[in-house]
Amino acid sequence: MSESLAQLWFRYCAGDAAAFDRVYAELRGPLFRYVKRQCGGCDRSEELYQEVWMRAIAARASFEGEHFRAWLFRIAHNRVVDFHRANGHDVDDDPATDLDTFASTAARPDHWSQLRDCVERLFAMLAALPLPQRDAFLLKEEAGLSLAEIADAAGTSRETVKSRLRYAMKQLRDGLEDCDD
Amino acid sequence: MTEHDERLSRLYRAGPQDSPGELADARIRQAARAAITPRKRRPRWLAPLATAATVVLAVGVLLRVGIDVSPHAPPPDARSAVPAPAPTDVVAEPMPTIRDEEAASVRQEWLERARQTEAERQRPATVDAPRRAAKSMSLEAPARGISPPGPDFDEQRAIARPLAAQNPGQAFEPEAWLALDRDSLLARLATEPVSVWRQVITALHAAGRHDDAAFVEGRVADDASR
Repeated sequence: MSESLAQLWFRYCAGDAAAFDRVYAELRGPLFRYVKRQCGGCDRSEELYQEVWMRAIAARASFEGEHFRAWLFRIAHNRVVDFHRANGHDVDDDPATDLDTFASTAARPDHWSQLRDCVERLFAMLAALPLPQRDAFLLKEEAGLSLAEIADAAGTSRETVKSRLRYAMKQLRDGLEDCDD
Repeated sequence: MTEHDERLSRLYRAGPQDSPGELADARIRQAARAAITPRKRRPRWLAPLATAATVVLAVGVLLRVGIDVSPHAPPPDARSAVPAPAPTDVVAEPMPTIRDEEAASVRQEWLERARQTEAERQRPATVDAPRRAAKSMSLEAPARGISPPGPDFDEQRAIARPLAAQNPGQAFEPEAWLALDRDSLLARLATEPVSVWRQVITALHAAGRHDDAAFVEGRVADDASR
């Protein structure tokens, strides 16, 4: 049985650099995509990504739990929120996004070839989601976190996360009605 | 409506799988290794050892150059320039310098010579009188540029003076000369001028000591012929 990410991290804290490499290899893609998509296509996504790892390395001894992935993505979430606040973006929950408006701004289905067009549309709609909803969606899809872990990472309640996710799914689903499997 | 939609998840995973650049990977891995690498520290004993070595070296240099480090010693510049008056409550005596030792040695030499001369003078004034007088007259201060100290020197100079010269203004007294025998007369006259010799010869004739007078005249003639 392979070691969990938490066990590897503990070994890294004890001085095993190879253990860090294994953790990094497993999480570099999901974490980078989370940061990049939360950044909203900004040109600082790689810089923010490095800062997340630097913070994790500096705070390595503070990890005491069992779910390392949730701990690391909480650090990433906080860094992303700080970035948006510093740039004057709205980081609060905004459930009043008009689905009709969002749907009307999306590209028409007849302009997309089947799968590729649906994927591109998905990411376009994802980028247009309010930050808390997008955050919840990405933490679920990229980090694979549960509702409780997303709530812990986002510093909110499990019910709030559940509501955000439901609202995000509805918008995306409505915008992808013509995309069949 | 649910918070999970398998179709949306598949579409999302079908999207671009972005990843960080190699430079970012390298920086992060390097930072991770640097964080757990123990820093090399200097040994704890290095700083005290360096301090002790410095102190020992400084004290050694001070002793080498001869600087008095006692708390009562004056500054080196003041000591070498003007000798300070001896304090009444001196605790630590200053170290004798080379000049002090030279002066003590000269003084000791003078005292020794004075003692020898005094002992010879107290012996009966007989045959060794001329030798003693000559020796006394040859007594000079050592050529070291230092004046002989105190009354010992004056005493030696007085011994070395001729008999008549001790009282240059005093008149010739024949009784003092007539009290001497022939050898003592010659010894005393050895340091006297010729005029005194003539007065002594006249006094000897007057006292009826013609043989002694002729003897002294013979010595005067011998000295004159030389």
